[in-house]
Amino acid sequence: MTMGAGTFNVGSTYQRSTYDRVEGRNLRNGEIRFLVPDTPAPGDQVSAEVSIDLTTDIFVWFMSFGLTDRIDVSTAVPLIRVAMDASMTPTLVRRADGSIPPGQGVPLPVESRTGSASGVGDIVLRTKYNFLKRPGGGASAVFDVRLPTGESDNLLGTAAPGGKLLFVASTTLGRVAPHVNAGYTIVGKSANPGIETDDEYGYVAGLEVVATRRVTLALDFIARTITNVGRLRLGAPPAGPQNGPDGVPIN
Amino acid sequence: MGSVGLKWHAGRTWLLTSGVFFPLGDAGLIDQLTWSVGFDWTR
Repeated sequence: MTMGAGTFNVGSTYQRSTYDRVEGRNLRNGEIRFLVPDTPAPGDQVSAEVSIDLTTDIFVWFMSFGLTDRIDVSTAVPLIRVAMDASMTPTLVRRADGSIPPGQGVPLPVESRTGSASGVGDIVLRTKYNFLKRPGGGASAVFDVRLPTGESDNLLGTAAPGGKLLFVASTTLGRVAPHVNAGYTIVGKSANPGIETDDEYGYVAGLEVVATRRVTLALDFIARTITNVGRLRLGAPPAGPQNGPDGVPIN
Repeated sequence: MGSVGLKWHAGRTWLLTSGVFFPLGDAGLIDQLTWSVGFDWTR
């Protein structure tokens, strides 16, 4: 559960994500549409199809040190690259004067933006206290402090500090080692008014299986919930068949 | 989400890790399959 006094550990992980969907809607094929009322003039309405290619590459460098047999301290420094290619295809679907017949629309110029950013993300400082030792396992309390070091305007951080309390327990049953953890994160208000933050909670349940003398397999079920944060909801379809028969994400 | 991973004790105090993460629902921003690799060294 902890490394032991004087033990030093350093490492890195690399993770690549290419996002496909948000709230079940395809990000790339124009399935996400927004209705913009009173645009460009009062009483008009625009339907905007959005397509987004979003990829993140994250290197996390971590270091841990065993202060005592029961206490570890560690830090994790993420180096992040975010790349985004977004386009919006707007169609004027309603005019206040009724000059656009139902089922027709007036295409407006397509807007496209491409960009990327890289840099340090939000750094995490961790203290772990092993309060229960058992052969092959035990239980620990972990306290993380998340520093708002990532540049939030470029999606490298949240601009919000956070404190997380996590309980971790594991045991060993022959070649199988089950583990669980559960935690709650208190998240401060973001300094970036464009980013909505709130507290989070989550848990992990999983197991490790010793396959050979050198190889261990791991399986995990991971759950995480951010409280009181806006979700995409399906709204009523706009008037006009050019907008498709399915619902339109709004909000 | 779910994850499946593998840890390989590469010798002495070196450990190599790899894993994949996959969604188990539709909530939030989703990657169909996220992969990761890593290493760590202990003294």
